[in-house]
Amino acid sequence: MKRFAYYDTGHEFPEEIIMAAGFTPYKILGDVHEPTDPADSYVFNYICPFSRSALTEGLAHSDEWAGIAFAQGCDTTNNQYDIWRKHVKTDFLYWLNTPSANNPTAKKFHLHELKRFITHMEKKYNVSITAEKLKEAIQTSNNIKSLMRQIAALRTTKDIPNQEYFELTRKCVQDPKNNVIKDLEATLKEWKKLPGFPSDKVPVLVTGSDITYSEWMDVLDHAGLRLVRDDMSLGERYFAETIGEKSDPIEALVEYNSNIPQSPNRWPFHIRLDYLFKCLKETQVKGVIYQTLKFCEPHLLDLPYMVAQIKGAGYKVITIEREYTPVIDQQVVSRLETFREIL
Amino acid sequence: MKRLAKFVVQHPDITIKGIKGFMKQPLTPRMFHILMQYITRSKLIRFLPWVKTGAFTAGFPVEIARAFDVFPYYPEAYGALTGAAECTLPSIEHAESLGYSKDLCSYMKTSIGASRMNWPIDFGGYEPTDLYFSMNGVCDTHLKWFENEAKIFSKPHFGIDIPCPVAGEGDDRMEEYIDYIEQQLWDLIKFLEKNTGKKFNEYKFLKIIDRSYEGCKMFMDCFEYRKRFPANQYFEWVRIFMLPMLCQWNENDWIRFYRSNLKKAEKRYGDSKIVEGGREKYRVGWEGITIWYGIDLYKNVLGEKGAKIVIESYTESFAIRKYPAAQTIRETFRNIGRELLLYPPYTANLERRCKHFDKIIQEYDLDGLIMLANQSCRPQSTGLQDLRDHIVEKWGIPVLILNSDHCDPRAYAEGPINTRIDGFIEMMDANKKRKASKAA
Repeated sequence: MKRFAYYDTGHEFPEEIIMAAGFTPYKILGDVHEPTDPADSYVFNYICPFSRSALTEGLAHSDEWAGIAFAQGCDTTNNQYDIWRKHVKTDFLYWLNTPSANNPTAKKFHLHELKRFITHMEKKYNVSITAEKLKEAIQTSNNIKSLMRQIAALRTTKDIPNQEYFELTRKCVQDPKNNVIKDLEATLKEWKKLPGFPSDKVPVLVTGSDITYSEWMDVLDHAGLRLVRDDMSLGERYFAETIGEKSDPIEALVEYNSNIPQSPNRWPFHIRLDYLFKCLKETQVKGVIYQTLKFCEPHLLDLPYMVAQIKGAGYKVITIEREYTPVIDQQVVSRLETFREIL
Repeated sequence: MKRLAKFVVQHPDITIKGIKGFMKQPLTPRMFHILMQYITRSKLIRFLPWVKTGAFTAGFPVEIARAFDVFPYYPEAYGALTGAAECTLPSIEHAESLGYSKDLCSYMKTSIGASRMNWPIDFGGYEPTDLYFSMNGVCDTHLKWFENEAKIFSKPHFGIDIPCPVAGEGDDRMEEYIDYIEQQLWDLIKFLEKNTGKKFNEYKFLKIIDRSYEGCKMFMDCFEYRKRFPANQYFEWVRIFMLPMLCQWNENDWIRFYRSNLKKAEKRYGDSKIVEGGREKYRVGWEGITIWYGIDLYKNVLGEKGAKIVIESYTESFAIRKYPAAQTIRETFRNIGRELLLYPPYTANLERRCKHFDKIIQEYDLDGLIMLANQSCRPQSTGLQDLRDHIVEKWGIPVLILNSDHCDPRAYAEGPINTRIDGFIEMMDANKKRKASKAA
């Protein structure tokens, strides 16, 4: 099954429509190991490095994809669509205007946008995206989300290295869904047998920019910190909620989008904060790591208020602004080690 | 008033610096009077407890709130004026000490820093308002800045979600987006009715829209005289001239002011294309926000070499009302949607941006273009390389990409910028000579 790539800075893109069209949804995550020189010809180096990595991937690999779709995300995604349109070779580049607001008016618009996207997919690929196919895709998605919830819950009780959890979250958005289900089922069985939570590790919640490469998860491990909760798109945001299976499938996707933990470019803001506090209530963590990728404006904009709220609720927080690099930054490790000592 | 007095006593050095900074601006007495009138009025309004105040981001359809008698505050404009006064650095640094990153918008940090230090509006601060209004049509920062402020001060916030009109989308698509914006404007009415306790006065609203349209039209009519040789006004003047229109504090005054300026231009130029000293040595366009603290750049570094900024997309973008009031509220709302999506060149997609520059390069007879790669305004900076390539390829004029920031003087490296401008001037000169020899 050919891959259909999508560019989404949160978890707004409806993978299920791609699945119902007969493609494997593939989330563009860039490659931190590849230099971004090709993208740097079109985008300044003081603009989100992840976006430049994603563009580099698009420039090099677009011929492997049946098409590409963007979901409206942050300013960077929105403004770079035109650059992709000009420089990335593809037969099909689609702009899905996912609303940033979360209210009844926005939901109505979202419903319209999803229907329009379906029509364009059907026309382009000469396929019929029926309600049955969508329901089937939704069931598959829900199956993955359910497995991931069970697996993620083990993080508090078992010895699960951060990197291994990350690798699963990546697979969920890039690999063929049936393979993912098999992998997750096997992993769940295997991880249940793992030894208990290591006494030398400290459980933390990680929030902020999406972490798109496993090396940064190693940074946490190096510092003796274990990620047991998160509110990232490559993480819990992807599987925290279930898509309704009884109602009209497109309406169910709209409802789902409105219920998931929000990325920072959406509003009202309290939905994001509410989810964070829900996690903190549910799981005993020792501290919160608010990490932001360099130039990641939506998260940087939320940071002062969010941190004040989290601290105000009595939690310990460390803020880290990280570079986009696979190199393990010892300065960051030292800061995190100090944080662990404080905890 | 108290705030200002306290500020002057506590910060005599910054006060003097600010006065000096303002003195450098090409302010006419009338323009200065209008600005001071706005600032004074916005201070005095706080003594009228029955008047609701609202903080607005640029571009937000403020006329709807004004129909509910909400008095508009524009923290972004206060930041701009503080930039012109060359006094932003302490407030930016203060905001950074509160956790706002060095990479974030320097308008926002000027406002937040100054407000938290209780600085007066004259130096970028403002007191919390009753309501907050923002939209993401220009940038996420607008939306999030005011949403966060509203949260911090426990005040109601209304956000408008503007769909992103990317390149390649046609008129039908725009109508779909306009449907969404229209519906949100009806939601805004409900929000205002709830929070002001007043009913929507349709007649008043349409009247305000008409006045707003009239002012924006006159502002753009003045631009016509910038196409003449020499241009009627340059960027360093127009960037202050636009503020009354942006802030909408007292439309009668600014409309009168624009009308008198228009009349002056008509008298000076009439139908003549070339008057007095004739054409500027180099007619230059500017893409991006102005460097507020960089008056010397415009007046001296560029000006003394004969390069004058005769057109800029930034100021033009604030003349957002392109339609007078329509027959119905619904159609007027749809026109507002159309204006938000299609007109401001500052927020245009790459396709429309290229077309816009194709038009102004011809109409304003430009010899070169300067683009600001603005370190704290990434939406505006994205796509500049493609725009430059398009212009150089199609029009063969030099394009200079300057790296700096609109309000943060730390990002202004005078030496390297001057050197690059020297090179840019030389390129324009060589280009003109080449054209002349070809023509001969």
